[in-house]
Amino acid sequence: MDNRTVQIEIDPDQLARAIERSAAELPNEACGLLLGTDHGDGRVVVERVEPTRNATREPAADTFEVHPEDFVRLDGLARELGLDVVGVWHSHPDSAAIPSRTDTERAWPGWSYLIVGRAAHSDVHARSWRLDATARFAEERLLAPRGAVAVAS
Amino acid sequence: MTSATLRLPTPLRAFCGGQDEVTLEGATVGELLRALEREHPDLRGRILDENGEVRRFVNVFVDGANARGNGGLDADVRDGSQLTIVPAVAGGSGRSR
Repeated sequence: MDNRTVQIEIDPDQLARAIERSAAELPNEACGLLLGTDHGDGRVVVERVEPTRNATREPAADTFEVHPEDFVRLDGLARELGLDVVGVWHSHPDSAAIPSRTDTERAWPGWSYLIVGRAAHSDVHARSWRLDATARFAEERLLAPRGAVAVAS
Repeated sequence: MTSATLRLPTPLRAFCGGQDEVTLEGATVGELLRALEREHPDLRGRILDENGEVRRFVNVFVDGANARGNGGLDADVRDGSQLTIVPAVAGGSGRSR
């Protein structure tokens, strides 16, 4: 694992799925998986942004856990589509799209972590992160080809 | 001899030569996981803990059913079964912590 900046490309319509689901789940956190291709050269292309059930046994307003049955189902879907699980997405219902200590403690290396944030006095916004060689989150370059990475709440 | 395919999530593939799945021989979930560790020693401690139990933050599914609560490590595996190693995918803003 090196510390090159990773570029993650997500179709805006797929990104919108995460943003819409995040709004629908308020005041709780929404979560899901990113299906796509990690080209291994610092470029990740996400084809599908899939929601899952939030199976956390802690307060769902500020924690998430992807339901393991949904992980198995989406891992199978990814294989059928010739894709892979390349990352995770979740929402921060009342804070910025910046990884928290909880996010860092529970993250796995090798995946993109897309966060939909909803901070006070700020539009809904999305940023993506990945653990670096020192197990800290480094921001990825998020590209949504038709431009918008944020929609009004 | 029973053999089964073990599907590995991306974060664990770095510890087994980048393979996304491995076919091994074993008649139970425990036999297969121990065979996986023997074949790929870098995985030791990442799926099974020091007592040989499945780690708290890992689930093992056999043909779509969670082995936890269905026999666990002693659960029988059919020839040709697919085991999926599922890491706990979790986090959150943690604002109340």
